[in-house]
Amino acid sequence: MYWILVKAGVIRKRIRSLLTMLSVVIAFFLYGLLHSADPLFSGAAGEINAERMIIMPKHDMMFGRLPQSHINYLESLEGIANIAWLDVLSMDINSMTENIPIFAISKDYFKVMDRFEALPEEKEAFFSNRRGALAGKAAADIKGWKVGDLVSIPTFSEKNDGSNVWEFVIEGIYTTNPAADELGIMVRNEYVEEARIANKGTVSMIMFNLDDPSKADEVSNIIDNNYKNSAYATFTGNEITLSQKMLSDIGDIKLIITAIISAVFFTLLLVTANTMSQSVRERTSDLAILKSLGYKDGQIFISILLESNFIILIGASLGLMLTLITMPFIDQASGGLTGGIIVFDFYQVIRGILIGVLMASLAGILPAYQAYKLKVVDALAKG
Amino acid sequence: MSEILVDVKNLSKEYKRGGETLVVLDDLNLEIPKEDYLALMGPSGSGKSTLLNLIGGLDTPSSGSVSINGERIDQMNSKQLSNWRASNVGFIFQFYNLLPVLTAQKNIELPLLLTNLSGAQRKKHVETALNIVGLADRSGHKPSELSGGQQQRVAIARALVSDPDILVCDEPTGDLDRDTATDILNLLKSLNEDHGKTILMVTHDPAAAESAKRSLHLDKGKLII
Ligand SMILES: Nc1ncnc2c1ncn2[C@@H]1O[C@H](COP(=O)(O)OP(=O)(O)OP(=O)(O)O)[C@@H](O)[C@H]1O
Ligand SMILES: [Mg+2]
Repeated sequence: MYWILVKAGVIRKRIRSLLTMLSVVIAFFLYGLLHSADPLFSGAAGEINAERMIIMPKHDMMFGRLPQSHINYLESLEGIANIAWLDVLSMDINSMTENIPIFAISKDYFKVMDRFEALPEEKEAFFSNRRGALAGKAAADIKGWKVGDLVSIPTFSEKNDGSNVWEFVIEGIYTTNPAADELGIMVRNEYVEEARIANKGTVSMIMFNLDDPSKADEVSNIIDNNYKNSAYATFTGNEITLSQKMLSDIGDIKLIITAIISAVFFTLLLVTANTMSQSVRERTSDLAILKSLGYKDGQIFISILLESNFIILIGASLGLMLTLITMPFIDQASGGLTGGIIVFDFYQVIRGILIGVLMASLAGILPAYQAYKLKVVDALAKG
Repeated sequence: MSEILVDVKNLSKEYKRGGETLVVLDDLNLEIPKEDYLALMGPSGSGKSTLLNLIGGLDTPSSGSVSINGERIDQMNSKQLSNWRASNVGFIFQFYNLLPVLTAQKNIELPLLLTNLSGAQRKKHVETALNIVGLADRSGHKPSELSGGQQQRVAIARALVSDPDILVCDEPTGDLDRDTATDILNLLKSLNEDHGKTILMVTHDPAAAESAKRSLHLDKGKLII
């Protein structure tokens, strides 16, 4: 019985119902997109993945420095398996494809950061040539670099021979799994450390493995506490917590996102409520006739609420579905930033649906009450 | 004289507007026997629709009583009235009042959705009603695809489908041309004569009143024979 009333209501003005539904779809698509990035901001990514731990300068993750004494300290700690470090010799985040970033890595880098891969013989060639380099696959593709090429790269770091141009020999290509972070060139930290003038004795970040990954939080705290009051304070975490920290340094993104979603939903609420109440007003004589036929005020009330739920839930489902479909593409397009940790799970879907029901009920309740109060005699006298 | 179906006693209906009281129906008495066909005439604003709505259980009186088949419908609350209307009365209005998006068949089925009838049973009832009004071949049409007279037939079928004792018609031919009006009046007449429906019809049209068994005049809230 309710179904036919809902259907009659929805298709009475098809275009309007469709447009309303469309705005619901868009709102929930936005909701889905923004919320699926949640783990990035809220730390809800679950247990921190402790396979690769990274120490970064707490106050300036991008360009801050850590002294080599930090490495010595790390070696003195219990339970640390492998240690490696990396130095950002050159990086311009506005023109990464133009000016390929140069990372100077230490001997055990591939051991610690095992998502970076290169052929064993290429790695060997790289580590036996002081000026050797491994080009990221993406970088090599863009620049047309091949194994054996001698490349000259201008930087802002001066060498002790007075030149800013660094020369390396491509000994191999590195890839990552999943494919991200392949836009770069890895060179030998020993060579860079020896040849440069500035920043001597420092690195950009230190990475290590733990004997017991469950000790991740404990070890992080020990390290960070040790340097709490140092000029070289640290922030230790895995890749996920580090991206979170970097993003939260930019601004309270979570708050901004929540504000955006709230605004979207609030607007949607007004639009739907307005549509519903207009539709009830236009249908006065329909509703009056139903009442004259014996439909009860309460039944009419429920049918209007159901109608509003119908429109919003269909729209919400489509919107969420759209999110699920586009998610992999967005993850891919974002390159390394999301690092495959964007999730849109069952819980998010349920929460979306619940929000939908709540919105539909809020949007529908006043129109439903209008319809509930409608007196047959008055409605017919007007019609 | 046969059994009394509608028994209206000392019925008054007043509207308070500002400080003034508008007396629409004034201490009115009316008995309608079963299988009667009564036309109610009178000038505009005399309270015809008001009386009709009170008898049809769409409105409640200021004082007095309305009994239908021995039931005091003036004492029912809105929920009880809804239930009562669903099975005891059929309404036919001037402007047909069909739901525009539903087919004739679905419009007629609406009252039955409130019952426990199965889909098949409902279908049968709808078919019967469509046959009575002579529209069996138009069951799949939407109101916009039907003429005024056909729409009114659908409305009549809808009023009939739950098999009520009394049909309450407010100017059922008011929006129709002469020939179509005559058709509708003949239909109502046959419902009265062949199907035993008691009919109360408000009309401005003397020809319509002519087709009823008897007629009454309402003026300033009082009945004049
Ligand atoms: N809800 C209301 N509030 C106030 N006055 C009302 C209301 N409903 C009806 N009236 C008044 O009651 C009087 C009778 O109205 P009613 O509709 O019964 O007349 P009627 O005889 O059916 O007229 P018509 O032939 O034009 O349909 C009118 O003066 C009308 O203004
Ligand atoms: Mg009237």
